[in-house]
Amino acid sequence: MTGSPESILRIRGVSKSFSGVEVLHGVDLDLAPACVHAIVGENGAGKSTLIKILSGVHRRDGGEITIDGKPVDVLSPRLAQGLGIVTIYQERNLVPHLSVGENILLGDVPTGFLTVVQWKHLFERASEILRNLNLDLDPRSLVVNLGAGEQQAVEIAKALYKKARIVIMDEPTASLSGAEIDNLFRLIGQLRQGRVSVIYISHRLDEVFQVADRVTVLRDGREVTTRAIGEITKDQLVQAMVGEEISMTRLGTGPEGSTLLEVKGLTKERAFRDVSITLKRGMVIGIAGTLGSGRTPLLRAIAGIDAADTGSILLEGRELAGRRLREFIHRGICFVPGERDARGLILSMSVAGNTTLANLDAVAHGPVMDLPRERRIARQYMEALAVQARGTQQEVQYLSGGNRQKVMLSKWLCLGLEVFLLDEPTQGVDVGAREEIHRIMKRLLEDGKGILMVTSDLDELMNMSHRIAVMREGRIAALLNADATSRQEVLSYAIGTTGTG
Amino acid sequence: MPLAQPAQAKEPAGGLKRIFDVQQWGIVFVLIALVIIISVAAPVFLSPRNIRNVLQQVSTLGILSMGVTVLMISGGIDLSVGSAISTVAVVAGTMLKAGMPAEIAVLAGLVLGCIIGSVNGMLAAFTRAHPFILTLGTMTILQGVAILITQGYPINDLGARFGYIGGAMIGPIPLIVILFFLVMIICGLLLRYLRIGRIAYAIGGNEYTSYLAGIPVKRYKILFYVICGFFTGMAGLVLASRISSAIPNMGTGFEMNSIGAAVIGGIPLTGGRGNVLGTLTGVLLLGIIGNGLNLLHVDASWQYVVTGLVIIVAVIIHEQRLKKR
Repeated sequence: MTGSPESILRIRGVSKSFSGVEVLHGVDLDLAPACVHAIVGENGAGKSTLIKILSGVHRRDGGEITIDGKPVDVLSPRLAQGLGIVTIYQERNLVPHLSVGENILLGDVPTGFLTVVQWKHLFERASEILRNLNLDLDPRSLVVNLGAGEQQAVEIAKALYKKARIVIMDEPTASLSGAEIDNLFRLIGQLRQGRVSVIYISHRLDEVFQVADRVTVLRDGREVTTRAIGEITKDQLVQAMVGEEISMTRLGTGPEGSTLLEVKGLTKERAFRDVSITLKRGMVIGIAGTLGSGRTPLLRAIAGIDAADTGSILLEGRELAGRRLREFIHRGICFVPGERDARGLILSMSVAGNTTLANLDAVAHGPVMDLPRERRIARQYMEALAVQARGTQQEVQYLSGGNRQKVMLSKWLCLGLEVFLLDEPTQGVDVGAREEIHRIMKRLLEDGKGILMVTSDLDELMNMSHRIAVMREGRIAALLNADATSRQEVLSYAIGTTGTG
Repeated sequence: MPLAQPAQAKEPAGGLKRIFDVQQWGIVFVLIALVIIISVAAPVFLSPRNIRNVLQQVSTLGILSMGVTVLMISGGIDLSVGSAISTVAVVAGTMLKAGMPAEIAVLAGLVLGCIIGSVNGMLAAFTRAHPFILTLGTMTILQGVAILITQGYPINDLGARFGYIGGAMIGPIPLIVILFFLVMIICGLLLRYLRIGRIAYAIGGNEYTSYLAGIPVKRYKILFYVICGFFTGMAGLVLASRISSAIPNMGTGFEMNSIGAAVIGGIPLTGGRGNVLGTLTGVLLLGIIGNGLNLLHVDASWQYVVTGLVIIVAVIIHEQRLKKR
């Protein structure tokens, strides 16, 4: 057990599994006092799990955590706060209709005789804290009226009031504008001066180099490297994040089939700008990008769920932009959502019911359902996709994740569509089901269908795409051939170290 | 298909199992137990006359509850059905008093039910507010309307022709009991064998998924409120015909009893499951509690207490059953 003796937080070999799948395999981390320590890594590298363990939301399975040299056994959110660990999540944790001052002193509001709130005292203490942070905020104004940056400042003031010694920030700049980000960095600097340590999680490497003193790279649930910020370049950091280039069986250059789908200059305010994509029959275009890069909104617009502001969507030469969702489906485009259980399935309904949901015309004579025919169709797809279920009438909620995923796909397969828009098609399924879903995708390609796929899984992106469109800040930053690119190249376009859109 | 693998699957057994959801058996047992207990304590309970009496008493609630069943399966809820019963009754009563033929009054009552349903449906479909609150509003409005129409007085002696519905016997069985069972069969077939029924379960099960599948969710939502409104209208007419008068608050309490019957029968407030036989069980349970306590000379106030307890117990049973599977 080595490590700098002066670290205020020491993590050794911390591991964590969710339903049998280990997502953290023994992570080490040392946090020095008055240090801004960035943690970077791809989606799914284990960053959020680690900070949730530190803030007491999740319990670790193994390893040890010491604070000030004292081992900490079980962390609960309350205990973590007692130890001076405060986490500022992406979604704000403030009470919107209370004042700034009340939010800062929440849980410790000064009261006098008969527990009457001593407002004067409360606001005085709040403004003292705000003054210390050089914040020009009125403690009496309501939080709901503040901007995103100001709300974050209130969170930091709150942390300071609680005498936090370690502040964890999860993607703190995700919803901030340029000026607000500068202000946040100023506040982080002040925290450091006040001997508070900051754990800073971000996708944006530029910011990491701007604000952090040290950086730790996580990959696949392991700590890969930890360096002082001056000892590492951006390219080295990206290299550490993606790891070794693994040779893989890729799909190849892609077919020279006829054009199936043509998206031209598609733009939606605050989501994506001027996106053009041409999808041929038998082709998969993978769409890469960090969260918030506009990839899912783009997919939803091409599917006809949310209308784009301008631009055109041509399916086999026919204009679809501006039409209703039902016409998109009717013409042959479907959207297979990422949040499978919440959006892709009706859990209380049978396998058969889910399979035919989008295709009731095929299993009804006018208003009357043809139930035997429905069962036949459902059975046919159960067999074709190897769905493990007790029967066509079993409710989907009793199936495993992979089988649910297949039932969700059956719903669209049985419509005989042309273009499949897949949002995270294998998120939350086991390895076997993932293989199976990839096989289904390949079969669709053989049948001359086209696929647009958004995925955060770089392996899947590289292996299951012909072309890769990398999105950044709502634009396509690069369109790459999958067999002529690398994970590193994709990632550097996605986080903006090369090619500014 | 090259991917084909034989799925290890057997179709579940048919028969009763397919008509009732498994989780509804708990309530069926409660009903049977209640019947046994009451018939031991008061043997008259099982006499043909009393059975006919019970069925006659629950028919109005039964007809209403079937409409409510369709609506609640689709994830909707309508608190205004009680006031709608009053409104339909006093409108029909006013028309009859004005000398219009009974057929016209009945037709008007059914149409009015549909109109009330469509207003509720449009509010539920086109606003973001919860239908619970929206129909709380229409409930209060309709209550006011019913009182305004009659200035608060009951309308009595609605005539023999109109009274036929509530009084006629087909052999030994009252017409309204037959009507109730017909309505149940129609709603049952609709839910199980019609496309619209499938869509009711789909929207109740997951509105967003249904929308993504291309189902015109708003249009169907309105339709389910209209269906519920139609049977509400029918219930109002049946009730008025049975007692041959229209009273501006005669529907009060029906909203809670019909929702209660549906919930006892296994329909969650979120929708997506349940069926008419479940609701039938709920309706019978409520009716038998009332009748049984009456036969045992228990004070009528206790009826409320027992009914409330049964609703609570039923919901807990459904929760447990759902979790277990």
